[in-house]
Amino acid sequence: MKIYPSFRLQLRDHAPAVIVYYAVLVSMVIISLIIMPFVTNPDDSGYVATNGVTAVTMIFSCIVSLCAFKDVFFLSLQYGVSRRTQFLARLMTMGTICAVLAVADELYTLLLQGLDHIFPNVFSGGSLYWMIYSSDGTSPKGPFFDIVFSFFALLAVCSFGYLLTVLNYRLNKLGKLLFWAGTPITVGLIVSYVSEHPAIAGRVVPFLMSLLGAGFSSLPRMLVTCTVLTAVFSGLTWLLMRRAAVK
Amino acid sequence: MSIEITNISKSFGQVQALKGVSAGFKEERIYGLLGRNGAGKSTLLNILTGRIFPDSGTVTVDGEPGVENDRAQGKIFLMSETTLFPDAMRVHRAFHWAGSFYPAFDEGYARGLAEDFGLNLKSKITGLSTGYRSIFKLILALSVNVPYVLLDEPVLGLDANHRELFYKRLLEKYAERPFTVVLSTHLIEEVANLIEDVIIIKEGEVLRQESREKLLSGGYTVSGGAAAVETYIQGRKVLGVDSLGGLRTAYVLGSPERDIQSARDLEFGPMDLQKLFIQLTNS
Repeated sequence: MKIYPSFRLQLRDHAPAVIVYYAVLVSMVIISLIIMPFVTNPDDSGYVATNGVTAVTMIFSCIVSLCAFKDVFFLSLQYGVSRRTQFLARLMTMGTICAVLAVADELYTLLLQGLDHIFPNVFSGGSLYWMIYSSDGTSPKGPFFDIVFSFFALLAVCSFGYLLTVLNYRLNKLGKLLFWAGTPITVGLIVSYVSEHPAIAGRVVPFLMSLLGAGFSSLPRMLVTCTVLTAVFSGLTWLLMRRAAVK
Repeated sequence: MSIEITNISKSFGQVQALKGVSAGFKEERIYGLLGRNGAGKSTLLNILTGRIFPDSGTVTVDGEPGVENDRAQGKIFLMSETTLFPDAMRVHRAFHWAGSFYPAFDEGYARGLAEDFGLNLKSKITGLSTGYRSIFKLILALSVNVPYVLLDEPVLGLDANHRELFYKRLLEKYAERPFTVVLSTHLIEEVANLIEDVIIIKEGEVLRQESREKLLSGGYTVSGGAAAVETYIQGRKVLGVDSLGGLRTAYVLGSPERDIQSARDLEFGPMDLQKLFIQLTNS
């Protein structure tokens, strides 16, 4: 098995993007610190708020996953790595990257909270978990819960992004056109149809809300939902990847 | 110890690239995989290395399944026309990763070869000219130290000096540590003296698989005046005839009969691999 070198290769593929992403976030804080004396005064209520950075990180991780397939797939085949090994290494890479991003997001949030203590009323940083689940005091709070929440949320998003990129690779030109143009058009048509028919909307919207509630109403439910989503997305990815050929 | 291909078929839409191909590559031999454009050579090599899947048939490497098997694929290296390296990757990074995936990869030797060929290690692979891209891939192929090295159009874009250097280094490497080499090329004259076994593919089917000696000993050329040659070849199995003015050269299967009346004033010579290939594959 070439799983360890394959894991290292995929990890290495992600590293520069992750470094640049956090460099940008930290640079924004530094720039805020530098320009702070010029934009704040005792009478002004202006402040720097970066609440729920994990929401941005989720978008970032999805984009990174969208770019993670083709180069690594080709290079791995050149070096005689089977698709199965590549897939297992991808799961390991995804877990590692999501763990790193979750911890880094927490450190960033703690940095902002630290600055909030030094410069009261100027900096504000709350985690996404805190904003969704524990800002009202109903759920426990703390860095551990922030990290666990971020890790599972990022895992689901990353696996979805990777599924999309593998699907895109497998589709032919017509398939790509139908999928990428057809999906938004179909969704748009369904939404218009439902909104034009209050009777249907009255059944569909509550159903969707109750589905969301069942899946995400508490941290344990959210963890289960994200794990299931990750498993489903990864399973579909494997089905697409196992017969992927060089083209 | 060998790579065995059994009954491999592969279609691309309406085009059937391979039709029940069976062949074998034994250890420590140099093979010439010959065929016209579109004959199915690259398709066969891509199937051997798991880059594409056959519609039917099996590939075994040293007795174990070759497809989707890390251990089997770890024994094979394919240098193909298609570049599978990322756009941003530089030559020295590709060497580094080759060392990670192939434990026997000799980076010192690769760097030495790069110096011999004048390949800049800091260059981006996609920024290299066609010739230097071939050189980069050849260096990898010669440095990975695996039992089976498959070279698909290895000298594509190489100038005469680099081609000669490549053949020299290949033979040096082979003499020092024998391994199986499969050379898929259109430059038959250049590799004719290098290869020990020949596999000729025509329209997706294996036309011949035998040693070069046996293949060439099965025929001969006869040259001379048009009338004399025509008389001599009457009733013989002729692969083809070349004409130049009043002179003719016929490619004949079997053994020459120099002593018969009609053979007077004719010249007999050994069969030339390229000529034989052309005659066999001309449709």
